Amino acid sequence: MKILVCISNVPDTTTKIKFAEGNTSIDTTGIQWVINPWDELSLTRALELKDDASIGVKSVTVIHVGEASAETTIRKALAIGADDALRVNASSSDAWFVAAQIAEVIKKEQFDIVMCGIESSDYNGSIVGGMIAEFLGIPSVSAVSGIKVENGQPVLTREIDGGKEIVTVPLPFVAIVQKGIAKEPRIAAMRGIMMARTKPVKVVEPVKIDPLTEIVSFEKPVPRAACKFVDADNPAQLLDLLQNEAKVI
Amino acid sequence: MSVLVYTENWDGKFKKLSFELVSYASGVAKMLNTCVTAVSVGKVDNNELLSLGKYGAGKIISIVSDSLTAFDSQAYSSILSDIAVKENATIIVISNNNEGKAIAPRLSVRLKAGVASGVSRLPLNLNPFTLYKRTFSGNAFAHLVIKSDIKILTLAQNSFDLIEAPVSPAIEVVSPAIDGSLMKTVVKDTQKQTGKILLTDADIVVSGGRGMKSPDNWPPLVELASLLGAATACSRPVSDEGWRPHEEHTGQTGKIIAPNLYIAVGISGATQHLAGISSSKFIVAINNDKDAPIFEASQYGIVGDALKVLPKLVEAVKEIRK
Amino acid sequence: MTKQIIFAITLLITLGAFSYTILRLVRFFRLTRPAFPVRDFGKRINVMLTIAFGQTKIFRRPVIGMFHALVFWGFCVIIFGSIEMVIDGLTGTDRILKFLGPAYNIIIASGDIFALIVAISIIVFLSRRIFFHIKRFEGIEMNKMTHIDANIALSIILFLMLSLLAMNTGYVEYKKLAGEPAVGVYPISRVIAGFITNGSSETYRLVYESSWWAHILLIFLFANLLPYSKHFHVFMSVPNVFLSRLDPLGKLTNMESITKEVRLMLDPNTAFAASASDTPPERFGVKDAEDASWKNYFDSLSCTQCGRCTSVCPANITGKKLSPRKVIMDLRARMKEKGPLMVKNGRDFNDNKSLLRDYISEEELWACTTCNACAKECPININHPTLIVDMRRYLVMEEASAPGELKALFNNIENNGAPWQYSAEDRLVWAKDLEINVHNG
Repeated sequence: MKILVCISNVPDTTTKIKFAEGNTSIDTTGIQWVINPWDELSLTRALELKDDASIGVKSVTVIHVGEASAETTIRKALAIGADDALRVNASSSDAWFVAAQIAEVIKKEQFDIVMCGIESSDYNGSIVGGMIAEFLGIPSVSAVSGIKVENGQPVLTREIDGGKEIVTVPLPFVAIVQKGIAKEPRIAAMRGIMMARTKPVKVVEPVKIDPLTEIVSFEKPVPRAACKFVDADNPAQLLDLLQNEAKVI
Repeated sequence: MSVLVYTENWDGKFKKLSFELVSYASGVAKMLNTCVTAVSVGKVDNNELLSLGKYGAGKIISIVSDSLTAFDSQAYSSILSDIAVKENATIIVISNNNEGKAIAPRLSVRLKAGVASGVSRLPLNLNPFTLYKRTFSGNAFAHLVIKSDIKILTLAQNSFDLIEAPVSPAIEVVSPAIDGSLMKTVVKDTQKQTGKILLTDADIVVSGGRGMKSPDNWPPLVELASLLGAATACSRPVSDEGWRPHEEHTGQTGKIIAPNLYIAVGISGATQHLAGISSSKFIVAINNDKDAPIFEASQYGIVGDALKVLPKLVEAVKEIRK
Repeated sequence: MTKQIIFAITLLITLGAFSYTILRLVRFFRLTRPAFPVRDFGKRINVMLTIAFGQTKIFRRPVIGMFHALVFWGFCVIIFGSIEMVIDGLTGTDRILKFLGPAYNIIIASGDIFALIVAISIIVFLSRRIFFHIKRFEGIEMNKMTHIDANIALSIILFLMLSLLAMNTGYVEYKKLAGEPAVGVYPISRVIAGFITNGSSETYRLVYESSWWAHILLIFLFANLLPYSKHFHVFMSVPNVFLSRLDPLGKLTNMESITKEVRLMLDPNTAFAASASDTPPERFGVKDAEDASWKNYFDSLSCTQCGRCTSVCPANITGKKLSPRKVIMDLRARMKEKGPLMVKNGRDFNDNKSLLRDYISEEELWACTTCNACAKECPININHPTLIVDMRRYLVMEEASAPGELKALFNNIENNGAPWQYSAEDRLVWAKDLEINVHNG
């Protein structure tokens, strides 16, 4: 079985987002770039499946649509344990563009399971995974919080409102994964970091695709009123505010 | 040209979420001077379907089919895309919940429709078609333009008020032939919790963090939630330690919720947690550290020992309920 | 003449057996990894004189420490008599060292006195072990064998002292009854002899001769048993102290292979590609016995299982699984198990077991606070934390295995430049109102 893990390159969660060029783009100075947290969990699970020799995962490949500046993040994924990487050499314009590029690569390379994080912490799209599946005409399962392989058959746990469902789909498929897919993300061991330098990163040129959406400007969230403090001995006052001022209870 | 809205149902019943979607779709339809068609999948009886008319759905298409044995995103998006084409829909409104997130991207590829996900306001502009959308986990908002002819919008939960715009809808029940090769998901088992208020549906949420010190201290918090008709939630360390079930974890990699009121007890307010609750209408924080970051995100706060404040709060709620 | 031949044969057998044991151990040492260069001989001699010969760390438990110091000093003195006995036995002389004159009398007299003192101390030790429940001697690593080992060794020492006293008493009495002057001074034995009234000169000579043989044969036996016992410290403790790690406690060793790797990563020419001459280093850290350094192994052979380290370990005191003594004992046991297999089949031999996990669990390793109380307390300068840290290095650097909180910490340091989840931009907020010059590196 060959697994493909799609990874996004995003600013670290604690980054203070600032805008540039008249609020039309994000100011990237000083940003620490990391692997999208959901993709990190996704990669961890893929590697856990590979560690179990009885399952027979031949390789775990990571793919990223982005420019050469993303190389560090790709190497991090290799250091964590991915066997090889593919980079589509293009700036990621929108979800449609990214999904189409990845689908083109998958058509040539053939993977059994494609794993995508449910969203990326930059644009919170939740779109790319499903699009890849539709471009390829293969099934996709979303909100996946667990993947196992039993007797050669992948068994997925997906979250539904108020509970979970255990489902199976035939190979190949796209698993769109969320929290629960792995307990915590794997870190790169020193051995992994050293070996990452020798693992192949194949760069492919993009196919011509026009994006369907575009971000034209950004704005900061509307600042909310400063916190009104209520005395710890007077909780009734809090309830009064919630009832009569905020009108939420 | 019409606005199509997919209204999910739960065992044949609609929830507040479904009506929010119809209200939003009606708002968009009004801007475009067109009408709203609602689509529902599964056995829903007539009276329930008619309730969608209260919020402006002029036409309701109810899909009933025995071959739809489970939710399969490929099958559902195929059905919806056929209907979208038939109804000449240019705007499709879907929820940003689990099912919606599964359907929207596949639908987008079938119809070559650009997607704006997690919108919380009506379009800012019609030409170009611009949406206001949450990015960077709530730290920034983007103006996203959809350039394609057909546009798909996924609405963030609890971000749009219900607006009544009653009409008498025409109901059309269809049983389309479903291509067997598209229905590939097989459900082996279902585990559902019954009785508890769903975290993503709740208007009020009471949440506990590490400041609660031990799982044994949860009863007053649960009591407060029950008195307020609220769902319970927790921060990541609490669910990691096993004090509370994983389903209660709200935060960047847990559940992202937007209740009317979020009460954070003994939670410091780390960035990842705030990412899960920043869209709440009102946040109340109870923490004994006056410099805790949670107070920067909250509208009301009490600086004090959560274990002492909670019981007093419970008593105060009981008082006003009398 | 016969006596000399028999003696020579027994000595040969003893030396043969001992050499076999030592050679075996040397082969195991060859499997281990380098520790540090042995330099600073002046400092080392100083450490040896205070800590080994001065017994300074043993006195941290003053009363029982005094008893042990007396036993140790007793051995140091009595060994002269034993050397004389070996020379006498081989060459047929009688008390060959008497040419030392008054110094000889002092040595022999001290030996006689110490024989009694050591015998009394051993009785104290044995009684303490048998009749009292000493917490320090308990623990999951202290199985029945360790207690039997201890009691056997103590008993042999007791018999050694008794045979020495019997030898000396026999000697002075036989000489007195034969009307010949005794060579050497035997204050204690003369008093003992004073209590005995009947028996002929010949009887006492027999007592003397048989005790002499008993004593020397017991020494030969004891010497060959020691390498397999916890009492190997009789041989190993003084060299172990001489070979102490001289770095301050808590100072970590630098790993050359890591330094090299970081340099390669910082150089843009090599950061994303490996050069042809690159050879990945051997294993990072310690997973199994052969990954430990020769000094770790030396420590494990010297350990006498006294348990003073575990008794001051804050993790152990508060109920965690970690016992520093167990870590050292486990290394010795594992090398005993795997050493012969590696000598026979090559260093790469894999018996599907390991020091890590099969002997020492991850829970024990992560419980260590690296406070170094154990190393500070050990009377023979065993350094437990370096072994524990090296095993952690294996876990993190080879397996990326660490407790969740540490993984979060590693990620934060990597992404935010600090152990916590704050934006890198807020790094200097603490210095906001302070008059500090900030240089942006």
